[in-house]
Amino acid sequence: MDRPAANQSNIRKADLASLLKKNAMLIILVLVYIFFTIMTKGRMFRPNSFASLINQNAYVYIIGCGMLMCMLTGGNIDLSCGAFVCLLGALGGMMMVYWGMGTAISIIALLAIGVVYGCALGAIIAYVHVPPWIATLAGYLAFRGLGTAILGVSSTNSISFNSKQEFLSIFSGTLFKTPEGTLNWPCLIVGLVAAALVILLVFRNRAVRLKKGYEVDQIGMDVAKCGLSAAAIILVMYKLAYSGGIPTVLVWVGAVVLFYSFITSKTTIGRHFYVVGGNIEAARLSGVDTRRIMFIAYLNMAILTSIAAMTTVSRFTAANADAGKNFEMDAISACVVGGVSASGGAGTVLGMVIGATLIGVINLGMFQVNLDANYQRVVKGFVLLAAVVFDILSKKKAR
Amino acid sequence: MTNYLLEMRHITKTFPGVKALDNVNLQVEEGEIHALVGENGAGKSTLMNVLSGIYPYGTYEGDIVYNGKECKFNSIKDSEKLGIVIIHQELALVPEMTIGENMYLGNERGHRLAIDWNTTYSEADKYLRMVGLSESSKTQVKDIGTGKQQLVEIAKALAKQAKLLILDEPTSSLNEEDSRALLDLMLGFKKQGMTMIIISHKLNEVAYVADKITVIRDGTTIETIDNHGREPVSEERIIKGMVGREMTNRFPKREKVKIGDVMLEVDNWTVHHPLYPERKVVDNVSMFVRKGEVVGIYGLMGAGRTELAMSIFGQSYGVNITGQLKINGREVHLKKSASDAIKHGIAYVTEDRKGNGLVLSQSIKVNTSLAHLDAVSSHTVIDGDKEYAVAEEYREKLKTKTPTVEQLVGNLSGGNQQKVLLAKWMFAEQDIMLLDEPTRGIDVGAKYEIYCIINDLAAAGKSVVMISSELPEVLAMSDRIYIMNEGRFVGEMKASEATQEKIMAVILQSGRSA
Amino acid sequence: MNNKQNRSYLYGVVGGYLLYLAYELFADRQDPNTTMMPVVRWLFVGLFTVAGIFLLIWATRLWLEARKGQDEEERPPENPNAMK
Repeated sequence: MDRPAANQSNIRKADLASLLKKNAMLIILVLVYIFFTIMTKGRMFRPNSFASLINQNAYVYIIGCGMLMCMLTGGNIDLSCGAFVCLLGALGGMMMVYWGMGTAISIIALLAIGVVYGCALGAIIAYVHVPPWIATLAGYLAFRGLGTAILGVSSTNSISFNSKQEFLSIFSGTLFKTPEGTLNWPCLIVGLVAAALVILLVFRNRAVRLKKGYEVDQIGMDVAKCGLSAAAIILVMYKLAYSGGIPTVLVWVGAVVLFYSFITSKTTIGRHFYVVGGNIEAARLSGVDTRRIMFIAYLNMAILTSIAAMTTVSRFTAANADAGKNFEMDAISACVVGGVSASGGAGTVLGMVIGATLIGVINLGMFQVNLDANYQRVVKGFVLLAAVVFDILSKKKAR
Repeated sequence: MTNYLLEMRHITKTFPGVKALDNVNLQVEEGEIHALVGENGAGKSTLMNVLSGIYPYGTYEGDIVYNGKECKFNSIKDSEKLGIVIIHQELALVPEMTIGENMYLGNERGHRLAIDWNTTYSEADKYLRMVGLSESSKTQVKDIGTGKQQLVEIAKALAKQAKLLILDEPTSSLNEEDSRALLDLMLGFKKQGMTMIIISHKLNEVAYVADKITVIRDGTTIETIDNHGREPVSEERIIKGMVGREMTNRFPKREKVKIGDVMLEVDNWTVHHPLYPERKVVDNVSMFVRKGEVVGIYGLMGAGRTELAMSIFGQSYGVNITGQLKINGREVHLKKSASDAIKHGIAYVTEDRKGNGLVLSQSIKVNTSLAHLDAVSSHTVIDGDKEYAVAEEYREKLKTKTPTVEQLVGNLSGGNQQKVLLAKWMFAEQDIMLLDEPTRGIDVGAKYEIYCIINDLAAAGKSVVMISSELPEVLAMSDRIYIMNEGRFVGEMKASEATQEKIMAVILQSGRSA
Repeated sequence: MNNKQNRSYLYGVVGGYLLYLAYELFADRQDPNTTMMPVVRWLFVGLFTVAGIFLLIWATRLWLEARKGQDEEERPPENPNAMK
């Protein structure tokens, strides 16, 4: 077949109204960020704030990916992840600090425990048909108590990881550390490379699709999309460059987010998650192994929780009894705010990331303006309320 | 100037991406039965939803004038207050509750805190007599048949003091006898001064009962046919209005009928009910289908046809399944999974396309590839463009009406949804196609297109099993017909030797006495 | 309709959390460091309590509806229509 020229019929029309609606959350995020930058007299724009944002919210992005997969299957959630983080932290502390196990082996052991819990949980939910909220409620109630009991071995009910620099450096701190206030070249270079990759990908994609005769967006759209993304990436990395370097967790967060982005949008198993949530009977009758999907959702959640546990312990350089507090609510909020449907079948990793970032910005902003703890609670409540109302409304419209 | 009870003027309603109603006008005289006919997606149900307040004032343009006064309904309650009551296609009764409780749900007699049951039941009984039911209103809904449940719905509407009764496909789940009874009931109401609007696909019923027939096509009113003449208007006349062209043949001719060897053989197949394991839902059924053949399975509702098909499809229904399955001569034992059945070349096109056939929240593209994702992916990575191309290919092949294959299936009309469902299984390239009521709830024009598709499938050598409750359809489309009643196969005849009377006779003879 | 049930759980959880926030707001009323005026505090305690309870009720309603739908599906198939 001859190579068809990019004629008018190939090009999808852009429409401002629908564009705004589709990217509503992103726009809100930008506006809220600008709002807080003004309110904090620019403090939100300092390199430290960017680093804080990432370090403080890393766990939300990681657990959020897991929660997204669970919610996709039909609005299912995991109430146990926070408590499990506490338990894993305690166990990690025992292993590394008290029993002197090596770092690598401890990490593997912790992941293995996550896998075991995940398989058990997945089996109970998918094959014994125990409703997820009951199955995970058990963990929610039991794990923290268990973790605290283990931590009781120390008089302060917490195990310090100060001596385990090797472990800490894997999950926290900064890569290629340089003093604050000086430009960290590796960080900036990574940013430039990433931005370049994005631009390259978008345009290569476009060229390939044109060659095959498929539809493409107007060139202005593509330029705008990758231009803005590239600019954002460079901006963030530039700021981080002055904060002392690439936060180590960013590597983890980036890897997890990119991985799940790929899985949800481009793989058959990702597709299966969406249809199971969309109509589980139709999925089953189309040959999808729906029980396996549910199993994988919860196994996956447990593994991601393990990773998040390790980043949490590293961040506080200690295993505490109240580690992981509220993690499940934060992940759920990030998902709901990010447009993940509470009844399943819809939602994206990008949406969750935007939701998590928005909440993170609000939290950091409130902290930086020294907002009274009570007002912070008010804001938290309103954000949740707004997200639920939004979910209800979008359900009504779909009718 | 005639006295119009209801006038809907210049009604326009838009949904995202599609204009459902475009300047629709409807005039209903007092005391008449007015029928609304049209292809699926033409807008009939949408129009009635506007009238009843389900789409509140402000979500549409145009006005509604009832009894001379302009109406701005915000909810169903507003329209019901004026006596406009709509009975939907899906029965809205709670099976565990009694008839009386159902009838007065949301409409309780008595004070806020204490429902006066005596009044409730005696009034309910009164309305039940009006619709010709002799049951007590204390009977539980689940204990009476669908035909009677439909009448309970009507009684419920009467209890709301309906003056304008809207019936949306009232006979879609009824057999011939019950349908006739309901239509006669409507004629009886008319004599008492009730005004009714009926939406129906069953043109013979419409011709029997309607005074005026308004045809809607593509969201606009085409014409209103007067049925007051000595002869009831002919179905062909109505179809011409609906489809815009003469339809001399409702069923396409079968070209190149080439029937080969036996492809699917089912022997002594017995299936038990999942909740009541002592009950046999399919009782010792044996059948076979050859390549290139269309085998019809006719039966009344509840005969067990869907259960038969689903149980063959990887034990997707039922427990304690015994019997043999032979595919292409070889005996197979399918595991309890649909994907195993699919691997063996069986496709099951469900009778409830919205309930368990399609994922309404996803696009046509996603639904089309769902049963055969590996054909559009390499190593589990989906090739989006290939998927798109495949969906486009089937869109053209099946003439699915949609601006793009990215359109959500939930936004399509019934006929087009059915086409997407068929496309999914055609793309999966299955040899054995079990079609369960493939033209249910679809208008005449789309039905014809689906019949063509079925013929093409047979011509391509597939083995087609068509489960249907429409006798004309089964007679015209099949090569052979199995007759099923109460879980058993009670007859088999070649289509060339079969007639409606013969088939009905077989069923009547086989029925166990009550 | 499993999905409907799940939605109801989610709403229930959020409703519960709102009540928890309301409780926290209430519990802090003696704190001398807070900048929140008592009037404002009570306003939000009330608002969140009401919203939380409302969500819990809505979630329960959703759950019951979903339950009803499930029961309908599991109903035994109707007897072949024979009008007696």
